[in-house]
Amino acid sequence: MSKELNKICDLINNKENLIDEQKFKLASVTLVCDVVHNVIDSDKNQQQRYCKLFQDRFNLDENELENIKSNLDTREVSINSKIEYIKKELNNNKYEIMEFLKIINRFVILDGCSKESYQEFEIIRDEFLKEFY
Amino acid sequence: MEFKNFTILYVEDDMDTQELIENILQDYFKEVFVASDGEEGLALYKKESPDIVLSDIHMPKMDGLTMSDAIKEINPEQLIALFTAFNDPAYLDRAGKLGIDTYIMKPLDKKQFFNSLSFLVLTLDTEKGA
Repeated sequence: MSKELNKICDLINNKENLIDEQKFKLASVTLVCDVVHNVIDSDKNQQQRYCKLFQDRFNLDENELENIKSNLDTREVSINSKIEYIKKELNNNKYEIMEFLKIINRFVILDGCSKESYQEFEIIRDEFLKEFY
Repeated sequence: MEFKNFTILYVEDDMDTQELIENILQDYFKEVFVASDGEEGLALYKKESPDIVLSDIHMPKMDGLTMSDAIKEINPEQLIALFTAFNDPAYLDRAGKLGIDTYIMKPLDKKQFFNSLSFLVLTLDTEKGA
């Protein structure tokens, strides 16, 4: 899993020509933490561990970390808005969106998952791709 | 999105299901190759090199995971979708490690089926267009 996680971090960190780099990072990290929590492992401690890991990888300050945690608690509205934000930052470009999603897909499938977890991921995937289906 | 640009190999041992899904796939894909078990599926894969492989897991002679493993040996980038009822964690764990690309739910949910195949077609589409 760490290989896929590194790929995600690199993809988020190396994205160029963004309108607001930090906002993109925060939206992406929130989304990935949400996937970890709701799809891969519902253990709250695991979620905290990933938040901390991302804080280190992306130099997030304590306020930004708290913002991510509070966003995760109000998932329904916030995740859709994060997805919309990421899509906007990627200029709604299907190549870039697919690059992002393929890695998250790999991350989700890698260690096996339950039907419910996979369905959670599909909601996110389909929200990203609804214009392209 | 153009399903018609791509070919698909469909592997299923239950004849009623095979007929139903094959008919749906025929309407969308450029060409559909059909096999009834993993052994036949692998042989057809080697012959036709389809863009997408769609397979059941539990089949006689060679199961879908063993076939997928052999296909990934030939082409690690091959896109593979597996039908699953998500009732066997050991199979899903193995599928994840094999690098399966998506799951199709059993029993069939048409929207989920098309969205999952669309994800694979978009993957091909963006890779070819990149």
